[in-house]
Amino acid sequence: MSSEITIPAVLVLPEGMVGLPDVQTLDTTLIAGGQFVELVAREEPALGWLACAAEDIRPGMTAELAAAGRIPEDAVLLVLMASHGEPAVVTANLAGPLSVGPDGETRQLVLEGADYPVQARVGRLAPDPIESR
Amino acid sequence: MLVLTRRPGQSILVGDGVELVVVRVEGDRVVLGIEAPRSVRVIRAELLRAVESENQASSEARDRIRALIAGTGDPTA
Repeated sequence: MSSEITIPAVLVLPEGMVGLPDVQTLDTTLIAGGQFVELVAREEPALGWLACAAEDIRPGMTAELAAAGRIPEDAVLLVLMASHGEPAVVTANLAGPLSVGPDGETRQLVLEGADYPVQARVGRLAPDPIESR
Repeated sequence: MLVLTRRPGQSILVGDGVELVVVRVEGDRVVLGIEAPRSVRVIRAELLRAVESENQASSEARDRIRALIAGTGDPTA
C-alpha cells in the first residue's frame, strides 16, 4: 500500500450502492496515514466499509477507466476490501469500485471482464483473483 | 415474462436503440450481440448479484480489516 487517499469528508451517491439503493451518503475517515479510508453509511451506520485506492491493487486502472470514458478524469477510484476464509485472505472488489469526484459525488461502477475480479487478493503485486466470477 | 423464439441472425428490439442479436447457438450456450447507446448499462445479471453480495461481505468484514490495519499497519503484511 502506498497511495495517500485524498477525498472529501462526505461522499454523496445519488444512485446508492449496488444492492443498497438507500445508502446515498457516506462519511469518510482516513486511517493509517491516509492509505485506507473508512466509509460509514449515514442512513445506516451499521453499514460501513474499508477501502483503499484502486491504484494500490491494480496500477493504471484509474487512467484506463478515464480513457474509456467510464469515470471523470479527476476522479479518485476506491475499492472496497473484504476478508474471506480462515486464516483471512484480504480481497478488494475491482468489479465494483467507487468513482469519487472532487465534489464528493460518487458512483459505484460494475465492471465486466477478467481484469476486474470481485475478489482480487490484496497485495503488493498484481491482483491474483481467488475466484473468477 | 415475454418469451420469444429466435434463430441465429435474428434479433429483438428493446425500447429505443437497443437491439439484441442471436449470433449463434453452441450447445447449451447462446451467444448474443448487443447494440445499445453508451448510456445503457449492459452487464451480466450474475455479476450484479456478485457485486451486491460482496458489498455485504465487505461491510461485515469491516471490523476485522480495521483490526488488521491497526495491528500491522497493512493487512498484507
